[in-house]
Order: sequence, then structure tokens, then C-alpha cells
Amino acid sequence: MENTEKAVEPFLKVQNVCKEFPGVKALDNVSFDLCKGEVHVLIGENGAGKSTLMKVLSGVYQQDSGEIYLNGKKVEFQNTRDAQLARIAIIFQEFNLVPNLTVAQNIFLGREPVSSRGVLDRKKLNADAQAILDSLNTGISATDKVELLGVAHQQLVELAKALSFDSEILIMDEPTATLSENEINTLFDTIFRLKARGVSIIYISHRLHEVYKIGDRITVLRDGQTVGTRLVSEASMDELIRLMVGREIQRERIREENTVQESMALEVRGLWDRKLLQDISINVRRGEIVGIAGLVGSGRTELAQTIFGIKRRSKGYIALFGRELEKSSPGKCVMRKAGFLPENRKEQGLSLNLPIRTNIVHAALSMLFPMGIVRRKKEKDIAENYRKRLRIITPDTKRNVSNLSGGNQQKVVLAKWLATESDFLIFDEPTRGVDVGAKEEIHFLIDDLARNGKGILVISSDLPELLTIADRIYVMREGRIVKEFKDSHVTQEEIIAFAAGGVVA
Amino acid sequence: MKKYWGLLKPRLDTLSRLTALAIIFLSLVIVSPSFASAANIINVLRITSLTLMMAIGVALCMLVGGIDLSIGATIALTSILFGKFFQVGQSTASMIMGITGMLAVSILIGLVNGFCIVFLHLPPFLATFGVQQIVRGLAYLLTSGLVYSNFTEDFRFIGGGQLFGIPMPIIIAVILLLIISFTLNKTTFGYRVYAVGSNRESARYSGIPVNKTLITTYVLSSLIAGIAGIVYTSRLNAAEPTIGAEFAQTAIAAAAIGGISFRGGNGNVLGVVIGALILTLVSNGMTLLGVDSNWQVGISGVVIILSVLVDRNASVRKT
Repeated sequence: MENTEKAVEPFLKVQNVCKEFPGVKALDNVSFDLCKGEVHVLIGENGAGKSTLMKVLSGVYQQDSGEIYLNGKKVEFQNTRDAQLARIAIIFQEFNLVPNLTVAQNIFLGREPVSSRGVLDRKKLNADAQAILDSLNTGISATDKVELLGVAHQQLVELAKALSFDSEILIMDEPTATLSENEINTLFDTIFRLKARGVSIIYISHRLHEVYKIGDRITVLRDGQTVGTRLVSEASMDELIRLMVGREIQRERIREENTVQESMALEVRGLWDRKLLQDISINVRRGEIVGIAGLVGSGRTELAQTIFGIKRRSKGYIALFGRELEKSSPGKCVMRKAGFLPENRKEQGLSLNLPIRTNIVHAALSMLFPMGIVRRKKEKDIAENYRKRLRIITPDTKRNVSNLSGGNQQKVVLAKWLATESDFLIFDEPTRGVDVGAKEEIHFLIDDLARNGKGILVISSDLPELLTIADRIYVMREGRIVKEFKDSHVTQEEIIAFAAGGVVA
Repeated sequence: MKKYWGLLKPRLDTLSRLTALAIIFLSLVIVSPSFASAANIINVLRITSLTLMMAIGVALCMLVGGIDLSIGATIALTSILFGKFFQVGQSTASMIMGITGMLAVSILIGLVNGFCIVFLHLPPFLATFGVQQIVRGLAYLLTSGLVYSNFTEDFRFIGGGQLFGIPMPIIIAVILLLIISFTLNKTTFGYRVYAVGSNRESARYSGIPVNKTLITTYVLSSLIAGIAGIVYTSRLNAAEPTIGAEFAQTAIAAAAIGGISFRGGNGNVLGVVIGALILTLVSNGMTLLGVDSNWQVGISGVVIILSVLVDRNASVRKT
């Protein structure tokens, strides 16, 4: 916040950096700078380019064009080692620790001090590690095994490891995502301590309210571009949200009328799990499309998984079509005519090395063939029927699913659940990685399903998608439902404001 | 042409395996005059039939992404149990009791395997390895070094008799083969086996009872080992705790040569048949050609590694 520092030549300067991946411009002329001892917050929606920028700065990726200056000198990082030598360290959301080694062994992994006789100097190893840990006021013992530490302490070990390289720039990717309130405060204390030592920090976050607690300046990224840098003291929450969302892209609303019926498809009351979900109550009626918005990590997928019995609930009431589901399991849900199209098609939705037609009957096996004997003819007919109806593009349904494109694979997952004649369907990111044409087709299909009286729950990071098809939208943040928009007359800004925590719920 | 490639590709594996089998067969016909005799062919088939029975069971476990190392010990224990039962009455009644006991115990062993894997979350290799030791230990404990032999004529028929000139083990293996092939290709259980083996997560999300499928698979594998145990004990006309030490290896080798993937979800019964045949032909051929038996063991190892390598290269090209 010290304005005097601002006048100084920035310590790190990123100029017009571009990075392209096949099909996407992840970074488009990004410029950004960081002063000594500054906490510079980087915000943006999912897919805005934050992670790519960080990976360029830490040498994981190389930029296609543009320059990076460190201390006024141009630098080029060919790999992560180069960045390390330039004293830039990154702490990813997923820690890079070896669980069955001690804290000290992790901190100096691959750089263990060796005595004159070439033997590992355990004493020095532990002493050096302990010194760094103590300087952070962590209370962690260097000889503890990492697997015995909680998430917050593991993060501090990552921090200590970063400092052991004498890092001057620290990049932290969503550091508070998995921490509790108390742990967050401890982390912030540590950050202030580092700042006082002159360490510069790039802090990536989704959570707007945190920005005000620890940030000096804030830069907003959108669609791979830097759309603005502000002093935190001068930036209002509204302005930041506006910058994040940008101009409203008016998409044609696909759903012409709300076909909601009286009877309930899904009812959830007071649902908790052990880790994330807190007191969730939602409902979906037949013929209705309900959206769930929220940032990554807000618990949307966990909610769907808990409803479907893939994750266990610790308490709460779930009912399908008015009948309570005391213990849910995927098998029970299928029998009760509920289906779940998971977020990761390849990992959770398909048997890639099996034929399309076999995948299509997987969920409906016991319904289609109650005697336990599969009739190949019936399997083929069902597959052919959905191939035509959903326009799955393939010369033959005997082919393996792995031969299909993303959009067509998604249609196979959809066919699998239509084959069970489910009356309630959960779609988790139904159009992620799907091309524009297939995307629209899937939207029309979802609308069509609702028209035919099915209850639909759509989880999506793509806000325009929710605005095109949902009748009602719930917003989740940190494991809670923080807002329900009762109709589709809502803007992206309003949703983001709740999802990112700009508005007190 | 390109249009049919996608359909042809999966069949190509079986095709290339058949070709390998044919080449081995023809070269043996050419090099060794005694190979093509009816007696030797019947002999080869009889040896193959036992390997095949065990390989089918192990292949089932491999299809769900697991393995079963306990089949050899299962055969030993059930065979000892038969000896015990048989001793009681030395009659047809005690034989039937013995056979029933063998099948029941083999099912029990399968349940233990399944339990360790599904509920104790042990890796299948370790679980069935441990169970193998326990079962073998039990076999030793039960006999205290004794060997049971001299079973009745009707029991010896199962492994040593002939029907229409065809040895019984071959008939039993073929029947078993048909049943398992039907189960895998035409029943919902078979579909679940492939689904679980191909992608366990996706199977779970589809509401497929993954645990039940896994346990059933291990029970089937053990049960088949029990049946093989009956045939083997009968043919041997003896029961002792040391038998079957190398059975699991042979069975896994046959399944691997037959293209059953260790990662699960890939392979079929026909492949296992070809694998068992190749394995037997190679060792039979070496014997006929007078290859030192000390060399034979090592050479079959080379065959296994080669076939898996060829298979892996083929599947790499596929993706």
C-alpha cells in the first residue's frame, strides 16, 4: 500500500506475453508487474488464464512471444529449474510433497546436505529445515512425517521449501481453497511476515473478500487478457466484478417457456458431508431445469456426488420423486430413475475400450435384460435408436467409444442415461470440451427432456450456458448455497457477486 | 477400406494370435514326424485342457483388473479334502460327498479372496498371494505328510476316462469354456465384468454393483480351480499337498499370451484357448525335439515376454 514503493522500478515485469494452445489463446498480450515486498492479487473467472500465466512465470510453459524482466534484466525460463535459480517459487494447489518422508527431507529433497565423507548429514538437514520453519513461526517439527500433517501445515511446509531456495518471488495458487477460517488467518500472518522480509507475492484467488485483507494491488484477467490493475485501496467490489465478467454476451435463450410441473423430482434438505458441504437444501421439480453456479471448489460436484451416493453424506434428507432415499448409492438412484452425467467423461462416464452400443446399455442392464441374458439384437436396436435421435456421428455403434470426438462421447453418456428412462438427470459440466455445434445440440436436448417432464439439474462453470437454459439458479460458495435466483432474469455480474463472495449472503 | 478398419482392428489381435499358433503348429509338423500322430495330438489337447481350465478362471480375474494366484493351492487343498472324505467310506457316496466338499471349499476360498480385495482394499496380487499361502499351509496341516491314493474306478473316470474316444478332461474343459464364453458375451454379469475391468469409476457411476461383480469373479475363478482340482486329482489318482505349485504361473502365462490385458477390460475366451495351446505346443515341441528340460523352462519365459511385447505394441498403435 505504500505509494512510495510504487514509484520504484518494478522487481518483476511481464510485457505483452502471449501463449497459445491448440484452439485457444490462453494468454493474449498480458502485461503485469510486481514490486519488492508487494502482495499482488490476480483474479479472474475459471479459464481466464491465471494458471497459464503462473506456469509461464515458473518455467513450466514457455511464452510464444513477449518478455519477462527481472530486476530490469530480461530473463528466459526454459524449465522450472531456471525459474528456481531466478528465485521464483510457486506453490500449487496440489502440493508436491512426498508424504512418507519427513518435513526436513521434503524441504531439501534432492539437495540434502552431505558431510565431508559423502554421507547424508542428517543433523544439518534437520537443523537447517527447523530454522526455516521457526522463522515462519509454524510450530512444525522438521522431523515429523509429512503425511501426519494437516493440509494447512503441509502448505506451510511448501512455503518453507520455497523459502529454502531463498526465493524472492512467491506465487501462490488459490492457497486458501482447502483451509478453514483459522488456518487462513495463520496463512495471512505468514504472508505479512514474508512481505516484511521483502518477499514479493503473487496471490491467485477466486475469493474477492480476501483481496481486501492482504492485497496491495489487484490485476483482473479475462479471456487471457489483463483487463485492469488497481490499487486495492481504490478498487470497489462492484468494479472488480464488472472487470471479471466484462460485457454481457447476449446469448439467445434456448428455453422458450418454463415447463415446470407441480410434482417434485429431487428434494434435498439440510445436507452435510464431512468435508465441504454445509446445510444444503435444494429442490428440482419435474419439467424444470435448475442450474447450480459456483466457482471451482465451491462444492457443486461434491453435492451431485453426494446426492447420487458416490460420496457419503454425514446427515441430511434426500428424496427422489417424493420418496426418501435413506442411503443413496448409484445403483439405488438408477432404480429410482435418476441419472448422473459426470464432469469427466473419460474417467467417470465411459468405458473407452468398449463398443458404443455396450456403453449405451451399461446403466440400464438390469432393466433391459431382467433375466440376466443380453439380447444382442435389442442392444443394437437401442444403440441405433439413440444414434439417430442424438445424432451420434459414427459409421457403426460396434466401434469403440475411444474413436469418437468429445461431443459425440458426451452424447453416448447421455444415451446411456436416456436408455434407463431416467426422470431426473444431473448434468455436471455437460458441454465442457465440446465444440460449439454439439454444445447447442446438447442444450436443445436438455430443453427437450424438460419439456417431456423430466427434472434436470445442471452444474456449469459456463454462466452464459446456465442463463440460456436454466429456469432457476442456485449459487454455491464454500460448500453452501448462498443464493437462489428464482427466475432467469439475472445477469452474470449478479451471479459472480455471490459466487466470489462479493455480497454477504 | 478405411471405413471397415475400426471394426477390423479389434479382431486383428485374435487373428495375429491364430496365425502365430498356426505357424508353431505347422513348423512342429514339419520338424518332428512324431508330432502329428493322433496319440500326440490327443496328448497335447489333454494337457492343454487342464491349463485352459485354470487359465479361464484367472482370465476372469484379469478381466476385472485383478489376478488370482491362489488357484494352485486351492487345487491342492481341495484335493486333500477329497482324499479325507474318500477315506471315510471309500464308496460312491463318499466320492460324491468329497466332490461336493471340494466345490464348497473352493467357493469359500474365492469369497475370502473377494473379501480381502473388496473390503480390506488389498491389491489383488497381494491378497491372493497371501490366501495362497494360507490355503497351502492348511493343505499341509490336514495331511501331516500323507498322500491319499487308490480312488475308486468311477472317480478315476473323470480325469482318466474317455467318452466317444475323447479324454474326459478335454470334454470338461470344452463345456466349461462354452459356459464361461456364454457368460461373458451374453449375460448382464459378463457385461458388468467388462465394464468394471474397463473403467471401474464409470461402472460405479452407471450403478453397476462393482463389489458384487468383483467378488463373484473371484468366486468363479476359485470354483473353476475346484473343478480343475477334481479332474487333476482323478487323473493323478492321488492327493498330496504339494501339487499345483506352478499352476497359477502357467494359467497367467496362457492368459497373457492369449491377450488378456493385465489392466482389465480387454481380451476374450478364444484368446485364452489360443494362449493355452501355444504354451502347450511350445513345451511339447521342445520335448519332441529333445530340447534339454533345463532349457525348456527358460524358453517358455521368453515366449511369454515376446507375446506380451507384441501385444502391447499392437495396442499402442491402436490408441
